[in-house]
Amino acid sequence: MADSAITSSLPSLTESEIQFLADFIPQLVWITDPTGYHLYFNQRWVDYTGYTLADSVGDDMWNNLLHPDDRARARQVWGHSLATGDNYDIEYRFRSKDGEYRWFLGQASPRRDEAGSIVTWFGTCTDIHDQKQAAEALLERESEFTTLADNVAQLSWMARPDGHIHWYNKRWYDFTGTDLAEMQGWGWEKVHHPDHIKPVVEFVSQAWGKGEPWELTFPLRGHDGEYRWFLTRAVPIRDEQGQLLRWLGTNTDVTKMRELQEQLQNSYADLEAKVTFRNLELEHEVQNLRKQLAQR
Amino acid sequence: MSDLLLDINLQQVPDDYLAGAWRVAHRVLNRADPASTLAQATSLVLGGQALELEAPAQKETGSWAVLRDELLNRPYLSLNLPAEDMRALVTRLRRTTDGARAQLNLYFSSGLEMQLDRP
Repeated sequence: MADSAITSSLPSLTESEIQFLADFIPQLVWITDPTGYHLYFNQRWVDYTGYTLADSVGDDMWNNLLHPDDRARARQVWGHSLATGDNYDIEYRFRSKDGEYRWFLGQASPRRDEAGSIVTWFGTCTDIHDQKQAAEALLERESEFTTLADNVAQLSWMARPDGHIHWYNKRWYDFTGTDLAEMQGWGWEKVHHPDHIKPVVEFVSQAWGKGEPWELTFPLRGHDGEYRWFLTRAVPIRDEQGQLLRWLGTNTDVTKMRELQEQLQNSYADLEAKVTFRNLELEHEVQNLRKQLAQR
Repeated sequence: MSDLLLDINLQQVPDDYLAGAWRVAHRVLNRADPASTLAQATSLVLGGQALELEAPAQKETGSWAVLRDELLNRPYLSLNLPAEDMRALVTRLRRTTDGARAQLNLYFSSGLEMQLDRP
């Protein structure tokens, strides 16, 4: 009932109006019979490809139009739709009459008679070249950043504003021998030293709320069970309105630096003891003199 | 049992941790006489109060004792041989938890430094 109301409310379109509409829409439009034989191309098709309906007979037009890498796939997908009546949906590259390949989204649906038999296929080709290139550029950029993030010397991570960590770089997983499923959220507590975890949790719980950059040094357990000391730095990332979007964090291995610092402190303490030892008698005399002076 | 050598707090080290048959692993002469028995020593046995010093061509015996001084935050050894008396500051002592292995660093008043290993 509703369908007939809608139908009756639609104006009857003349053939020239339908022709105008088909040429006006930004897609290339085509119609075939049930076997795939082309019956119609709109003007945009002709303008872009340089081919008319008469050229579509045989394989020449298709071999010239489709990018060599897409031909077999396009033939297979279209053949499947013709054989099964399934909707046609594919991305492929068409060559323009100027020789430039552009990406299109090809879509087609069958129109059936009352008995359910396919009468014609209505198809469109939508130019998605710019979106495709933008998506590829985005993928390439993401791949470059992933490569960079995985190969920096530090362990790195990203967290939501509340501190829920949702990403670690490869070095984190290589060092800890864990995976994202185990680590995401607050899973990092598993690789902390039991003697140091309490002050770390207390510190970061406050740090997430403050939204300021922070630093903390603590040991993390490696996949071999050995603990190494890391200097952790976290920086809040904000949008233009100053809203906290995420945290970026790095863990820098400072074990060797701490060992050297300890050695230096030990060497200094040793040196002091050696000097005192070498001058023990003299030191006693100095001590006595100081005592005598203090008593006066 | 762990094979790891752990640093011993020299302010609280028991005297018997310093006793035993020590092998000279490294030495730094500094300005010490390179011809002295001590400079050429290959082993040092600190047993009871008796001291045995062994060098390639000679062996000397004497006595030893652990001394402490309030000015030093670590013990030092008094080593008494027929030819001379020496003093050596304990700069480091490392041991395994079971005491089976140990490493002792001594600094002699002559400037000589020694690392002794046990066994």
